[in-house]
Amino acid sequence: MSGEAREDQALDARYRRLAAHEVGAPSEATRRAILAQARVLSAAFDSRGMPRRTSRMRAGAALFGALAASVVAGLIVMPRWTLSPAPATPAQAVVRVTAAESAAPAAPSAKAPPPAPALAPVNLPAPSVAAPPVARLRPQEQPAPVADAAPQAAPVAAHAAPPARGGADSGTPSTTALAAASARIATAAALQPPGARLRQAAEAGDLSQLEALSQEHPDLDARDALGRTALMLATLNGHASAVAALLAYGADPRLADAQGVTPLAAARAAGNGEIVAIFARYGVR
Amino acid sequence: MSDAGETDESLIERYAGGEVAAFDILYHRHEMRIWRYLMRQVGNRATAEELMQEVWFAVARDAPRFQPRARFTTWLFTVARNRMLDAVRSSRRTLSLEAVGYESGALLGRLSTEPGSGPLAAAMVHDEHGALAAALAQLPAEQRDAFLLQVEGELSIEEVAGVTRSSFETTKSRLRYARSKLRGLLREHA
Repeated sequence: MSGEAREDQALDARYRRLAAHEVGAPSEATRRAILAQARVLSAAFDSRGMPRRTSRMRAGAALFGALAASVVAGLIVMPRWTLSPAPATPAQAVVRVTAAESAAPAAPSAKAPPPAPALAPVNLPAPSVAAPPVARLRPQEQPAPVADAAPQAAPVAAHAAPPARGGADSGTPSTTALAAASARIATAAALQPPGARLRQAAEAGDLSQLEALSQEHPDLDARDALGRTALMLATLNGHASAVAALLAYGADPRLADAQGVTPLAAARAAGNGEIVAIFARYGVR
Repeated sequence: MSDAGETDESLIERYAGGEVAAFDILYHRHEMRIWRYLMRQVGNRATAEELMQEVWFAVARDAPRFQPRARFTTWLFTVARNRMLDAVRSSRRTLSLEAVGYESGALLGRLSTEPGSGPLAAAMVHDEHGALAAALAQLPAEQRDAFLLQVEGELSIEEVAGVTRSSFETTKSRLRYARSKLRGLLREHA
């Protein structure tokens, strides 16, 4: 070994001996944040090391599904609550009776769930004198004319359709169940504090809901059990528009969750450059 | 869990397979080397803390994409160096890209001469530790970078060349000049 090589080795050894004394060590908070983030990310790897859907993502999908179902149910049910019943035509009268009769087997056990959808055109009675056959037999018309309850259908409707305004029933069991679920979801949502609703909207990336809730002046930085704010949830779910909206409303981007991870750090960890850039626009770097 | 004998590459592979304990081992094995590299480059504890998180978050996130044919430490220090340069580029430390140029060496050079926040403050010259710190701070940025990558990352010349995207000969020269200058500076201090 040459003299220079020996000197190099001595220098490196001297450096290593002195190295630890000058720069200290990372803080315990940094360590915790790193290891916590590693645990979070690890949960997203499957056995082949590929990212997989996290429980948060699944929960988000479930929430989205529930919201979509309630919207669909609302679209189906609301017109029947709000529109006044039109005078029955002879054709409607015929089909109405038909629907009621098809639901009749459920009537004796009125409190039990209706056994089968009443939509199927089975056991249709003989055509009434006033009813043109085409009015009864076109499939697309069969579910519709159920608004005005016939006496036989009333017990089923009374148990299945909670709001039952103006004596209208909900028609079919599936529609009824959707309406009931919609009402329960709406009631449960209304009972939640504004901060929780804000977090739900942020997690779902629901901008219109965020906008509406912001008018109620909720605590924008309210946290969930894991210390996550609405801004953190929007970040974790990659909703850049929701992040921008929350920052515009005045959400504090510096608030870390219970593990010490800030929204900016979470965005960086997820490699979401769009959200990182949004934070940068608000001076968060 | 004992980590004796298990390679970094095996550990990162295990982590990518969902074994979070493997990451803990890796982190504790390399924590101080990355920390010292970052601290000596940016000279600011708050920035180094933030960079430390970014580096390890990136390692955790990209673990499934790690190629076992590469050395883990080479990848790790590449990530650390890139994050450090990104931090400078994004003006985190109020540096202007236009003012210092886009070439990484120029960025590093600007860092090394920034008053009060250089890799190690010039005031720390009272003892042997301070002498080494001051000597490192006086190195040209490219030489310091190459030296730190080799001594902290235990990288070969070829690996340092790969991380810094320089040729083998250029890297070898930088390392030779760095050590020569360090020896001279330390001799002066003694």
